[in-house]
Formats: sequence, structure tokens, C-alpha cells
Amino acid sequence: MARVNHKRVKQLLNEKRSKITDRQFFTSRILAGHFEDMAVAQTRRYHYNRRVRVNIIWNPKYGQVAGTDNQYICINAGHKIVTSVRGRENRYWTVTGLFAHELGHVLYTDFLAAQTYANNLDRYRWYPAAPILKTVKDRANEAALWDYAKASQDNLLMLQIIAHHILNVLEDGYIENRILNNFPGTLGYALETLRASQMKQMPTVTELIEMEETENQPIFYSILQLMLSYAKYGVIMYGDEPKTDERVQVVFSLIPDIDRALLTHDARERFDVANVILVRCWEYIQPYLEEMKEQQKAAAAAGSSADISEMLKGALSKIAGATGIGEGSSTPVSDAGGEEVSATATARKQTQEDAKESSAEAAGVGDAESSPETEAPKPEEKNREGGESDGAGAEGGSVSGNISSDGESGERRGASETEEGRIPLQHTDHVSAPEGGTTERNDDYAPAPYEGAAADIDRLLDKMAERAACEQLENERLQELNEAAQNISYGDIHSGVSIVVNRMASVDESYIEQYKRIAPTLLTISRQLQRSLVRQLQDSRRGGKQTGLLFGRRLDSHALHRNDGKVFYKNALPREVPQLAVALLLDESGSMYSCDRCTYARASAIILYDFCQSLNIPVMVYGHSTEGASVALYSYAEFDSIDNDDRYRMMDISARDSNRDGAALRFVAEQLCKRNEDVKLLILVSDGQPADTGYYGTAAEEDLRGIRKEYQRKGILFVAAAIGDDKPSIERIYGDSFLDITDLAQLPSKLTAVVKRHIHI
Amino acid sequence: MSLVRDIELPSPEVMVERAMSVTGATDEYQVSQMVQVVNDMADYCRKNSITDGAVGMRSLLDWIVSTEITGDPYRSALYTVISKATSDENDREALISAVLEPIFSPIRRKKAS
Repeated sequence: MARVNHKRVKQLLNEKRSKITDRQFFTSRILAGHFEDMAVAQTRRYHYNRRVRVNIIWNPKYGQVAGTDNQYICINAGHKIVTSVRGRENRYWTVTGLFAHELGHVLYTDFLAAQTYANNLDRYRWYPAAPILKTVKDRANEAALWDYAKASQDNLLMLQIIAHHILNVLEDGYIENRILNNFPGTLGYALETLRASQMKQMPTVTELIEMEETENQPIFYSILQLMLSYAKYGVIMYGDEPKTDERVQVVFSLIPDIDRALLTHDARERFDVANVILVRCWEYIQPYLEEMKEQQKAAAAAGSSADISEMLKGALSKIAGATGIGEGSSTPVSDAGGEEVSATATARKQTQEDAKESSAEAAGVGDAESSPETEAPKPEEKNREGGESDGAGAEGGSVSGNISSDGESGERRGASETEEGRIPLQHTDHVSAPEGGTTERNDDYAPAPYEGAAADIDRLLDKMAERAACEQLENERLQELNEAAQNISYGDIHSGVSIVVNRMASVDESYIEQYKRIAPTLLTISRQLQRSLVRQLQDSRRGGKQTGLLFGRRLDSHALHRNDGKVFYKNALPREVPQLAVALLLDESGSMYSCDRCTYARASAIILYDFCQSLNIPVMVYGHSTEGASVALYSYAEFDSIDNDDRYRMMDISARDSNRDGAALRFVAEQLCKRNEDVKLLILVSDGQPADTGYYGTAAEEDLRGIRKEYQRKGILFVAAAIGDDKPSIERIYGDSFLDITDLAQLPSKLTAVVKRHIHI
Repeated sequence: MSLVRDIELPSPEVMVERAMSVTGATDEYQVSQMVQVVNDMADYCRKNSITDGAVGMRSLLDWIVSTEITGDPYRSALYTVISKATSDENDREALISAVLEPIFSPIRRKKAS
């Protein structure tokens, strides 16, 4: 398995004036691979054997920031949460934070149990057990809830979505907590940064109340928001509101339950808490659902086709700091059970104190239960003042980030990139001539601060650098990403492909005839190449004395009479030549038929085979193509041939169908690996890129590079002979082991020469 | 003197215990995290056929001792476990960013100062 070039990731990250844009950087395969690799390394200890896939997209308009279905993590790097941060490195941390969050879901969220929960709700049952109802009001609420759910299918659907969302809030708090505890390094740090920036965007209670009034936002919304705030950060932003506010009180009353949910490792306990929340908050949920129904009816009347569930989902997704979890079908990692320590313990404690305090107060006043029953929110004037300052920015809790300096501060104008506000050229007759002007000196000049100065120049520099690099950009990007992604790990993606190895049981007479007809000319080439080699091989095996050398360490007294100076000799110790095994893999894709490529391939196979046979080098010749969906391998010569007819089999080499190089290459390399010769040489003759359904393009190239690297580590030498038009792509794939054959006629001799070169004497 | 004898790889808890008694380190939480990193690293190397070095109990001991001296597990790791695991520059970087940094990160120092 080859890997991601993490060094390259860091280089790209730190390039000040980078050649590629942030968008290119974040959507590149190499970054995704970087995260995948991290996920693999960090999840394995839990015996989590599924491979996590990461995909990073760039879609500023798409509302969702990140999601996972337990196997596939999708992160939207174009979301405002990321782009509102300046600088690539900071953005990287934000993305890593998102990744850490999703990884938390992958590791700790029990998706299977969540499904069970939903199924049970479908049948009007609580899962895992009915919530414990302590008060009369709770009982009434529960009855009302079920009545409502049974009333219509839509009601049930909405109830499920609400339940799912409450669960999500609890789950988010729980997994972030665990990630912070278990991964204190980069993952934890990144998550911490992300949380800090999300926390800033959490609306305070005051803002929430204001939104309830101005935008007619339901009260349940605010409660949900506060719960999320508590679940994640352990704090509630009170704003200017007193702690006796009913929303705060509702959350206060739920605090022990939420804490229970956050700290337990058992997902069922979280479901239980979600149930409790559903029941306790039912009086807020029901009006909300009713209102959603009304809205949907209105929308339907206006011609919108949105389903009620879609609308509800859309509305809920506006809650700040919430990330969606997708549906998945797997269980979390098993871990030693027990209670988790809260990462935000101090903040949590503070809030709990607040809760106790306020409940004590409430008791003192005489309001026995902290859950509020009065429907009227009293402090109305107060809201206005408090919310005025920054409430406007946080509409619906969505992230509001302005990167560009379009706000005018003082009298200055922020510089902008586009042309605006220029006066068009006009014909004028005279200019004004004011009189009596004086010159003053103002030493107290205090400029209205303009923070954009540096940023503007920065932008300019960025642009200049970008333009300079722009010409090469396209080419370089292709090359860069290809090179950088050279090691992207694919594992054995071919394990699901069926491979058929074809081999002629007996050789047809006609093949033998044909072979005999063409063999003499071909074999002379082989013989020429052998001639010098055989001699050298024998010498080196036998050892002996070499005389008549022009220089050397020993003087040959018998040769001193000579005048030409060849008076030295050398004693060569007999030594065994390192053993060599050769495998030849021929591409038999359809394109090989043109320009006689497969004919040359056939000729080279015959020559190479004869060459190796005469020198007692074990050799294997394979061809590969596809048959339907499976990979077809054609075995022409095996290492241990039973009959001596392998040479005739080679007449069958021809152009066939598509090619899935990876599987074939893996197969042959694996075969070769089993040999115990010192040098293992794998020669690949191909005319171009891999091309099979679902196996082509850069991804397939990466796979091939990975295979090459993997087997190089296992001691196989690759030689890829490129004979077609796609030399650059073959060179890109096989790098230094690339052998350029421009003249097809040279193919046989060049290949044999390669083998010869590896017989080190 | 380094003697070599084959024994079964003990469980992480036992590794922590032994490492602590050999090196005299006292921070059990930190040592247990180090054990975790070393085990992950060994696994990562095996899976990615990084075979030109070694990762194991001995590197762990070196790392712990070095950390006792420097006080910074990240920096110590670079000179002990990482450099011992492989000599390939890219492989080292991979080990650092995939295995070491999620647990021990240089950034924590920056934040503290």
C-alpha cells in the first residue's frame, strides 16, 4: 500500500504565495488522502477495519458543512465557516476540526441503534424504554405526544425528525467530548479552534428572544439552540436575560439528563434522554410542528413542492453550530465502557451552579417547579436594547462572516477589487477657482483606523503572484497533483475483480508450424545477445586467471618480454552470478492491433523467452486483457513449464479487449514475489493508460503507481516499455523505470538488453 | 548490552506498567498515550511496509527517557521513535502527521506559551 506524501501537504500548506488556489488545495486528492491516512492510523487501534473515505468539496452555496455516513466523510471547504477564516493554514485547521468531528461520529456514534430507535418510533414505541415520568404534567405530555403522532402520518414523520435532531445535538456534544479527550494532539487542537469560532456564533438568549419576535421564530428553536450550546460547550450565553427566563429554565431542568447523555458510552442512554426531552418539551414542540404544517400548506398553495419533512429539515438546519449526520449502518467501536470525563468540566460546572442557584431562587419566590408554565415572555423592552448591538448578524443562527472589507469605517473607503463609482469623462468648460485658502498644519492628525491597509496590499500581492503563475498553472497542476498524489493509498481495490487465467492445455499444430517459420530470424537476434554473455557468465562462474592486462595489481612474469605493456594479470575468484527471474507482462488491449504493436510484442516475447531459456533464467510470459467484467490473463510461459511447448504458445499473443492493468500487474507481481531469486525483474509492455469500465484516468494511474511502489519495496524491479502514443502517461506512472521505445523495431533487442543489464557479472 | 529474546507483545496496560517501572516515569496518562502511539506506529509501518527500521518496546523506553529529560514528548519523538522507525524522509513525515501529531502535537506548546 502506497501512501500519501504528507510532506507535500505541509509544503502546500505553508507556501506563502502558492501557485494553486485554496480551492484547488482543499479539493485535491492529496489532502483527502492525508485525512484518510490519518483516519486509518487513528482508528485501527479500535479494530475498526473499514476504510474511511474522505471527500472534500467546495460549494459555497451548499448549506451543509460536513457529514458522514460512517464510511464516507464529506466536508464542504467552501462553506462560510471555513472561508470566513483568513489564511490557508487557519482554514486547514478549521477543515481538520470538521474532520475530527466527523471522525468522532464514525468512531463513537451508534448508527445501527439510531435506526432501531427510528423504527420503534415508527411503531409508536419508545426505545430503549419508556421515559420515567415524574410529574403529572409529563404524563399528560406523553399522552398528548402519542395522540398527536397517531393523528396522521405527517405528524409522525415530523416527530421523528425532531427526535433525530435532538439526538444529533446530544451526539455532537458526546463525540466532541470524546475526541477532545482521546486525541489531544492536532485533531483535538483543530476541533478546539473550530469550536471556539463556532461558539462565537452562538446567539445569546437575548438574541434568540429577539429573533422570536422579529422573525416569528418558535420558542422551541431557542430551547434547542441552548441545549446545543450546553451540550457542546457547557455554557449558556445568557446575554442580558435573567436566568429566570423560561427558555433558560427549561434547559436548566434538563441539565442532569443532558449530562447523563454526554458522559455515557451507551447510545441507548442517549436515546432515553432524547425521549425525556421530547416529553418535557412537548408543549413547545407541538405548536412548532403545527406552525410548520401551516407553513407547508401555504407553500404548497404557492406552488412549492417541498415535502413537509424537507421543510422541517431545512428549518432545523439553521441552528448554529449543528452539523448533520447522515444515515449509516454500522456500530461504533467497542471500547472499555464506563464514564467519560467531560472536557468542558469547568464551564459545565459553572452552568450547573447557575441552574441550582436559579432553582433555589425560584423556590424562594414560590414557583415550585422550574419548568415554566406561563406562556408570556415578560421582559420585552429589554430585549430590544440588548439585541441591537450585534443581534442583526446572527439571523437564524447561520454563520455570518464578512471577509471583504465592504463596511466603511469612518471617512475611509475600503479598497475594492472591482471598478465602482468612477465619474465618466464629461465635457467641462471651466474649473472652480476658490479664493483665500490658507495652509495649516495639523499635528494632531489622528487617522480613523483602517484595518484593511495591509490586507489590501496582501490581496494585490496575491494577485500578482497568481497571475505570474497563471500560465503554468494548468500544466503544473496536473503534474503537481499527479506527482503529489503519487502515493495515494488504494489498498487492494482489485480484490473484488474476478481474474481468469487462460492457458492453452495443448498447443495447436498450426502454432508450431507458424513458429518454426518465423523463429530462425528472431532467434539469431537472441543468439547474438547471448554470445558475449555466455562467455562472461562461464568465466565468472569458473573464476581463473586473466592475463595480458594493461594495468592491474599483479605482474605476470611470463609476460614481461612483451613490449606492448600488457604485462599484468588478475586472479578472478569463482563466484556465483546473482540469480535472476524475469516476468513479462504484455498489454493485449484492443489498441495494440494498430501499427503492428502486438506483432512486435509477440516478437519480443519470443526473443526474450529464448534468450532467458538459453541462459537458464526462469521466465514467465503473461498477457492481459478483459473478458466482460473480469480480468483475463493469458499465460504463455510459466516458470516451471511442464511440456516444452511454451515457445509455441506465444504465437497466440494478439490484441483483444480493454485492460485493467492494476489487477493484472498485481497478479504477476505476486507470482514473481514467490520466487527466491535475488533479482526479480518485471517487464511491462504497454501502449498506454489503463482503460476499463470504472478503471481509467488519474485514479487508475495512482493505483498503478501504488502497486509499483508496493512491489518495489518487496524487491521487484519494474521496467515499463512504452510503445504507443501515451509515452508521457506511462512515464508518469512508472517514473524512472520507464523505457522509451520510439522505434518499434528496437523493442525486442532493447528488452533483451534490459535483462542483460540486470545480469551483473 | 542489548539482549534480544522473543516474547509475546504484552497488552497496552502491561506495557505501560513495565515502561514506567523501567524508566521511572511517573505520568501514567502520558506514558499510556505514548504506548498507544508506539503501537499505532508499529501497525502503520507494518501496513505500509516501512521495514527499514524498528518500532517497539525499546523505542518506547528511549522515548520515555528522552521525554523525561526534554519535557516535550513531541520533540523527543522526532529523535527517538520516528527516526528509528525509518530513514525515508517522506515516510517520517507520514508517521508524524498520521500517527504522532493527532496525539502529541507541537501546537499545544505554542498555546501554552
